[in-house]
Amino acid sequence: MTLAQFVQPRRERWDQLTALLQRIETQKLRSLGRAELKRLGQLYRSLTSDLAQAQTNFPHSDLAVALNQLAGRAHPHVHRSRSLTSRSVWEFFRADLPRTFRQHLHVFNLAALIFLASAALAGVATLINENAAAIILSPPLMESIHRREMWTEHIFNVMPSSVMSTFIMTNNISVSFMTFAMGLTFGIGTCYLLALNGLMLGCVMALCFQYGMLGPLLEFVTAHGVLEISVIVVAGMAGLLVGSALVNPSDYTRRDSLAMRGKDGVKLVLGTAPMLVIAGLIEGYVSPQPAIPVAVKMTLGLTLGIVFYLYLLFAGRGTIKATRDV
Amino acid sequence: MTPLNNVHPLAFHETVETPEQVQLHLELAGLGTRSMAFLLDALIRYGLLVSILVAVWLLGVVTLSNFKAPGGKTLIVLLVLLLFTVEWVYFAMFEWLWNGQTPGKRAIRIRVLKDGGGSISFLDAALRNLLRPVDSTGPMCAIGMFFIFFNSRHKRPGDLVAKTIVVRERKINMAQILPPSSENPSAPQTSRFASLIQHITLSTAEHDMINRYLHRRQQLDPGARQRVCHQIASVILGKVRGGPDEARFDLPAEPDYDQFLEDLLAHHAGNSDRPQ
Repeated sequence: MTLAQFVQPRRERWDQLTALLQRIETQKLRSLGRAELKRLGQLYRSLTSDLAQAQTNFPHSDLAVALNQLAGRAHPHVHRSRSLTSRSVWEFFRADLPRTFRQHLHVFNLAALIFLASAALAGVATLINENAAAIILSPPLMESIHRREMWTEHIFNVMPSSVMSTFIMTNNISVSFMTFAMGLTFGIGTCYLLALNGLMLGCVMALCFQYGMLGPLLEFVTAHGVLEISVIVVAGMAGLLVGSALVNPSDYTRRDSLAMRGKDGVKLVLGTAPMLVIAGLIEGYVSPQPAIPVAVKMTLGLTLGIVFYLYLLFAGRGTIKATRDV
Repeated sequence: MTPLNNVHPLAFHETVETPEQVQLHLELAGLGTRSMAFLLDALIRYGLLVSILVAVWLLGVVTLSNFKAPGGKTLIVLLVLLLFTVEWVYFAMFEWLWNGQTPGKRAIRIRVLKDGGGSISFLDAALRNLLRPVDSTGPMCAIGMFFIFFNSRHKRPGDLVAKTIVVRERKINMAQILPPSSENPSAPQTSRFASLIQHITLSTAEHDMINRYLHRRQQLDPGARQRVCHQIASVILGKVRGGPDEARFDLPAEPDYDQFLEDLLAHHAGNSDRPQ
């Protein structure tokens, strides 16, 4: 068979496929009608068989390269990952996210331990010697506590709640993403960020306690803090998950373990990030508001925290439907 | 349109077996291409950010300490959200919505695919881009570049975790594969070289070589064109020269080799009963 003989009867189909691909690439797959979609599948299948023939009969020819190129262009549109639908998002939050959390509960415990131990260490150190806090906390913050003033009042007098909330939530989400990404440093970066956050909390609490300001501090922190810290610890858990794949991949190769735990990690981080939006709004609008009674703030904060953990620990138990990847 | 002979034959390829059990060769994008796309994206991201900041500053509507101006609060909220988007959302969002491409990648014609050659999901896009702080942000770019350079499949750490590859896309014009229409067409039967042409069999590689020359000859300068044409023709003629039938081919003293190659290809395209 000559090249021309091979090309002649097939060429029109290749041109049709090229035209369809052109449309998919500039518009979307959705712009295709049912008949066209079916035609895409047919054309792609016949192209792969043409490619196989060309590879045998005309190896290393321009034609084989061109057909390969065309098939490569079509391949990702034909073999697609499942796209994100409202149903798959619902299923993710209903069952997949809490199940992923419970599957790696021991990693969460480890992350929480690192955070709490650092906080306790910093607290004890500050109580013994106040100067220990100076290593971690910024000088203006220290001075403010020395003057027995809540530093937050000053900030919130200048900044409107909307601006403050936006700053806080974008910053916290960045910290959460960063804590996760740092897992790739064999978990070292994740441990550092978790410990740093713990140390800061410990220092502030202990220092405020010594200057008799623990009351105002808790009044400010509780409404948003429980949720906020929990989500950061979950991000730490996700980072440690990635790090553990490198340190101890268990029954898999490091490469496979990394891919599997990385996927679980990104689910945890993305799934809990919306909570940081809620926490940010509370920190901007509720926490600094003197008009809102302390009891309300405390109740709000503790309720959110309890609901968060109840959700992660108990949602999506029972009959396991086929879970879908988002 | 890319000249075909720029396509690497086998190097830097990922061979994928499709579910149809056909081997597909995907050309992996190397450090150079990916850096170009990254720089383009950086230009878009920070260019947008800086131009908006400059516009705000020039208009003098808001400074960070003056929220009282009309719309001041909203503007700052939007700026903070924009900064966050540029840092964390841009890559993941585009790669998800544009099927593995960002504006930079689209301009450079590369695309992120799953290891098996399929398209990436939302989670894949998010995962490979949330890991950017460790391999492609600021000085950490060195880590990503190191990996892309030394990894056999040009994967940065984010690609390793998300199981993705980045491939080059070339759009090849099918018209280039087939013999071009002749500059001065003459039917094969009436060709001055008709008797000679019938005795020449062409391999696929020779066919491609002549085809490429005929497609590209207009872009060559006259001297080079003549030289290349002569070279190709003598290779082809070398196949029959010295054979037993040579005397019967009445080759002119100064033949028009361009015409010869055109007729040769036209003959092979039209002739259906030539033995392989």
